[in-house]
Amino acid sequence: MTQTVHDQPSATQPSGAIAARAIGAVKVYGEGAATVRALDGVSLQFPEGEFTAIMGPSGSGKSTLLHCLAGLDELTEGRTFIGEVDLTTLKDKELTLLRREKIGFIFQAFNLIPTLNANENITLPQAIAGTKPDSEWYEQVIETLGLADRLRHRPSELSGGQQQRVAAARALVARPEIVFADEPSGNLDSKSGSELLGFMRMAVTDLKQTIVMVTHNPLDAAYADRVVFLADGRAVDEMHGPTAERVLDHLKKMEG
Amino acid sequence: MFKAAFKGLSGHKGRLIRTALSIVAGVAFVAGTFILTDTLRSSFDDLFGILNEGIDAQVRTEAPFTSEQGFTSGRDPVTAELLAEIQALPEVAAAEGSVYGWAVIVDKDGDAIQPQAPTLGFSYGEAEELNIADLRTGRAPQTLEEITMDAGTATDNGFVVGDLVTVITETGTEQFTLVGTFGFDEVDNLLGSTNVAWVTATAQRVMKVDGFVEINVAAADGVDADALLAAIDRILPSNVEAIGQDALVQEQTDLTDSAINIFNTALLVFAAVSLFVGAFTIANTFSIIVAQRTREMALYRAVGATGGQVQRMVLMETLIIAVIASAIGVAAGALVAMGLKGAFAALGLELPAAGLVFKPRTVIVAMTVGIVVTTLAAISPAITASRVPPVAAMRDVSRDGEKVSLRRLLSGGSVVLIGLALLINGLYFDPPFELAFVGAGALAFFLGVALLSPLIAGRMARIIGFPARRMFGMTGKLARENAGRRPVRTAATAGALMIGIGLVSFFMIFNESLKVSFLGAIDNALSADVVVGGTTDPPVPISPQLAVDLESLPEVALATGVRGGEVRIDGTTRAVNGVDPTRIMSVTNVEFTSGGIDRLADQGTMIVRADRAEEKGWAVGDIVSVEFTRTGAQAIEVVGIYEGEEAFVGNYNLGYATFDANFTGTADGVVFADFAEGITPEQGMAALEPLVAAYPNVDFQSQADYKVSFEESLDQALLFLTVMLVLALLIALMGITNTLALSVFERTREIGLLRAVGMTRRQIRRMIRYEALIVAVFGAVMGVGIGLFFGFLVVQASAGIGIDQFAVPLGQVVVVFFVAGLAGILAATTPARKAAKMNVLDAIAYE
Ligand SMILES: Nc1ncnc2c1ncn2[C@@H]1O[C@H](COP(=O)(O)OP(=O)(O)O)[C@@H](O)[C@H]1O
Ligand SMILES: [Mg+2]
Repeated sequence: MTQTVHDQPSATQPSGAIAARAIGAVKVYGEGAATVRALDGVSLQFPEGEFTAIMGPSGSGKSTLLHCLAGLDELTEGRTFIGEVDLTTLKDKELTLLRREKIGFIFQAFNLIPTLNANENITLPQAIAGTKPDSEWYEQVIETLGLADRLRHRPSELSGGQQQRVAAARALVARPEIVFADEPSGNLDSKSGSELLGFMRMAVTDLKQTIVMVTHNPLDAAYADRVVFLADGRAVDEMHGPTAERVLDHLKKMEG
Repeated sequence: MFKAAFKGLSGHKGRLIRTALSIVAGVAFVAGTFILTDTLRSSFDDLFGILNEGIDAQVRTEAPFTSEQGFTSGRDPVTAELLAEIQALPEVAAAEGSVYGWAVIVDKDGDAIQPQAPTLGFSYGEAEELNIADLRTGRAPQTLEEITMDAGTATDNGFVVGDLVTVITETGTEQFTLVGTFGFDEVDNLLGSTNVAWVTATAQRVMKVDGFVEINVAAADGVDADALLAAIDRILPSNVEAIGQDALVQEQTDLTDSAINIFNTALLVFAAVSLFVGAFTIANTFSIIVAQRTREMALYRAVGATGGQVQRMVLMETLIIAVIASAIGVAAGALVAMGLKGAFAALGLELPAAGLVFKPRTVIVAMTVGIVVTTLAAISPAITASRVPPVAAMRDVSRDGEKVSLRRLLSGGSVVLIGLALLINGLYFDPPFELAFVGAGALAFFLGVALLSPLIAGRMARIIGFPARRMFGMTGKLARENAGRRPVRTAATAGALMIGIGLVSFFMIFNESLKVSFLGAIDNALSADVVVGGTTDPPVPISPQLAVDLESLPEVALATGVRGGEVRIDGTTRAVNGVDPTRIMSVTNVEFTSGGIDRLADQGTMIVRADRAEEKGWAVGDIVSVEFTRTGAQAIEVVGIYEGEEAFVGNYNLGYATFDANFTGTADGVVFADFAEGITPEQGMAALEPLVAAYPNVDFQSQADYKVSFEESLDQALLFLTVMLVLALLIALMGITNTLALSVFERTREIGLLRAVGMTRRQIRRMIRYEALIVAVFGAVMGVGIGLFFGFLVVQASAGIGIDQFAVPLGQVVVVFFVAGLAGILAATTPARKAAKMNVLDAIAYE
């Protein structure tokens, strides 16, 4: 994909603005015989206010796609946008500021700085920028995630589920344009996992947040508005209004 | 296990190189010291070989002891008649009388040439066998007005044959015609000294020697040393002796050897400090590495290795590093030796140019020290490693929240107490090997404080980091938290810096106390308006004519010279002054508790400072025995006992009459003068101008200037000590770099996370630098604290030598903090850059 291709939607035609998109994204790792095409021409759009789940077999390029969309990694070819900003044109410093201001993250683990308490972790991006979070919004997020009585605790004093909720709160408090989550429940038991997903759903429904989440769990995917399926670095399919059964069926079909 | 050890090593190259460097540096200092002092010794041996070449025997008057001070040999001359008798002996091929003493050359700009080395004049020998000077250009002096000069000094100052050369001697300032230059064997100059030579008659006149200082004798063919000495002995008068070449060389070597030994010891003390600091760095690095390899250790345990085996593996790793690093250190020692030589040359102490002497002893001692110190430093980490339970392999070991153990508290506390006991014993109770006590005490104290410091490290990091939190927001906050989260590690890192800074600030405080005490003493003891000379090292001999010339000025009311020499009292060498009893009381302040100054004008009298008199049990009227180099034991009457500042009025004062009768040569060491009534210091100093020009080899200072130059000389000593500690500080900084690098590595994920949520590279760098700053300031706080404490202890113990005021140089202490902080930031450069460059994805990758 060398020429610019605008508005070439993969399957859907969303009504509102686009929070993030990838156009002909190619990511090649390694050199010579050992090259891996982790992304092999992915074009996708993520409309504002939508909760998208990305699924696919292990090694299909889900994390790579997420990293490239979030400005954590560089594409080999193609482009990614956050809003109208083309990430491939940005320098490291600009990317960093963009991440700080417009993007929220929830990783699978190691989301929190151990020397900071929950509150400090939640407001970390603002602290780094030397600003203060919007206090009303902050209260609302804390309320929604049920963290009010855990704010003074350090990560080591929180359960895994609480830690991931703190991470989610951090991602939301900044009012980012988009939140990326890479297997956020991957390290949690099923109860904490579904709790966390419930909160994320609420953030989309009630707080109008845009979320892109990688998951391998059909139960998690069922919380999303849409599921995008990746295989061998390509977006092969997508499903609207997913349920756990339909997703599972689809995955079985893909493997089979 | 050896194989495993080797594998473990090759896996962590960067930090191991830094660890090894701290061993290399310490070992290099040790090796360098030995190489340098061995080289010095061999240079002096060569030198004395050259100087005594061809002299089979030397004849001179006897002296009960050899004085190392003063401007002359301190011996009475031998006579021309004796020379003639010796020349007549059949066993003698040649004999020649030699005269030498001080002579200062004035350069072409009219300034006296005054190196930090002797300024010598002597009689140019005529006997080929005995002459140590080898002509380079021109010819030997033949008339009374001719002079020759060493080729080195001539070249350096642009003198050529035919020039008129101005020379200052005991008899005043005179001009001579340069007819030749000479060298000594293959060298053009000796150790930076200046040398002139005249015909014997001129040398005798300007040195005021009636006869010869010594007679050098060459044996006739086939006469051995013993036979020659026996033949000479038969004709010698009672107070004259003859010694052979071997004894002569030995005598001279002994003198320089004792100086070199002191030098050697001093350098080794600094080397020991560096090694001590190095051991800290090594211990800290190893314990961090062991902590980071807990899983690996546990895995060894899980597959069946015993705790002992793991321990041996860690020690084996240490040993491999120690051996390699020590070997490199020994080689680097040669560089250190050259560097030190250069540093001393820069300070004006030119050492003879000779090939570096590398003795097997140097290699053995330096290697052993390096290996032993390193291994000792690794023992505690090795024990920790052996205690890792096999199950640790299965779980993700939490690394934070290390606890300060009760054992550490107890051992730290007792080590501090032991150190304190040793220190106080050494300082206040004058045990034998006083310095060893003080040294061991200080060492133990540092060690104990280092063991205890983790107790406060966390809190201190937060206190010191508080302004950082305020000023630098989140980066400051994180730096502060990071500095405080591993108290043991932070304390050990800061501890290495603490030692160097502790010693530097101790020296500063001691220096300042000395300064304040002695400046006070100058005010108390010295009422003179002008001080001439007395501030240079070696002291410049001042012609007694200067005091006379000074006093003849209408602006000067009074001038008087003070002479200095050494005597032996009760078998101990003591400094004595020679003073003019009619004038000295006008320029110094002493108070007589009994007796007085009046009878000091009599032959065979002396006045004694009260403390000394009390110590000896002397009272006015007592006759005591004082031994002089020239005249032997003399009965001297104590005619006065006084109180005053020891450093300025001395313990024993003789009148000129007694002094001049018992010492050879007359030269003042310092001259004091008072201006006439109504003359301001400015007017007075202006009036001295003609004399300043006439005596270019001495400084004329107002009392205020004298104080300033006194302070400057103290500051120079401080600077020297500080420079010697720079290596220890550098090693400590290497420790900070090492610890930070390891911590950064350990916090890869955290740093990646910070980057992901929007921390810029610059902020990451700043965070690491602040952390280093906090650790460095913590080290400086402890160091300055210990420096203050040591300073206080030592000053309290030094009242006896005139240091009676405890003073803290606040400005310098502030500078220490500033420099420590800056150095900490510098030490953080590499780890900070590494952290900033860290790939965000690597950091957040989850396997
Ligand atoms: N840093 C890397 N270097 C080389 N190959 C990589 C790297 N990261 C990912 N890959 C490869 O790219 C492919 C996609 O990886 P990833 O995006 O992590 O997959 P997923 O998240 O779907 O499991 C895989 O084949 C993986 O091995
Ligand atoms: Mg993945």
